Amino acid sequence: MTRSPFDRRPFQVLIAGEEFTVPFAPADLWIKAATAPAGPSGVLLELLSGPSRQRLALRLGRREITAEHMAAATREALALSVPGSEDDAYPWWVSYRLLISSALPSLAGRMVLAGLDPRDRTPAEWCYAAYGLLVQGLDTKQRFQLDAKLTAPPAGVEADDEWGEMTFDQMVAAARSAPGVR
Amino acid sequence: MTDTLDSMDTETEISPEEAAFKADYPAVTQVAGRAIRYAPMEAGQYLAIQSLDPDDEGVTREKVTLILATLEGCIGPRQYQAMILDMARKKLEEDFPIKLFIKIMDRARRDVEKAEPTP
Repeated sequence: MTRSPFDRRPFQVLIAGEEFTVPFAPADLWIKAATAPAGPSGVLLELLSGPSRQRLALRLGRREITAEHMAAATREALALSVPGSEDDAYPWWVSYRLLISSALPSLAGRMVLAGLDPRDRTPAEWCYAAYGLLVQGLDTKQRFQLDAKLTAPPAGVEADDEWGEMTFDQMVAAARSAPGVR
Repeated sequence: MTDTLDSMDTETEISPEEAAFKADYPAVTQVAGRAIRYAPMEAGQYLAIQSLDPDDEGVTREKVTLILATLEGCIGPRQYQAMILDMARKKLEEDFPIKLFIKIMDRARRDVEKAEPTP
């Protein structure tokens, strides 16, 4: 299923065989989820609310759902929420890195100065704008370096494997490899 | 016969069933003088517990339910039911589950800290 980057409708993700409805969340909630202490596998727990969130948390507590299930669902949710195109691929790790980078002072400041408010933007709009600002003023070599760092698949993921077989630890490593993140 | 935590403590012969039980719950902790076997918290369980906001609404039914579900996930249904039975028989204090949970959670935190890469 391909969503429009401007789509504000809820969507479903499958987690350990159970379908969960993820409500629309503007970019600020995605950023909050991506930068929460729980890390990338905690993104969906941050985005869900009410009985769905409680049900998910209980199944996690009972070990019916694992962190690896959550990591896979996060990848799916990111791919749905920040779609690319045939000519401009947006693997989930690129979106994740852009969300985290956009919370850092330098890029966050530039986005605010550009008149962008994460509360008003879909996560796709925000990620596309973040990338646009990151490459502004870069020469060819600098842009190549940025693209290489941004698009390099995390450890354990093949470049042409959109989903990968990321484990929980590998997703944590991917988060830490975001541009500007130590 | 329903196991109680007392009977589990004093078993001396290891059956294949008990060997499997010990393999599934390899860690041991002591709470109120009782030895409890548990499986260290998995990453997903730690995730669920981290999602509890300590500043949000205080103790709620949902939080207690999640803590107890996680505890059962760590000690298994057999020990969990035995714990409930012993509490009903007043052989365990009401705060036993939370004390046990805190010990398991402390171990999980230490494991997470050990796994953090050094700066």
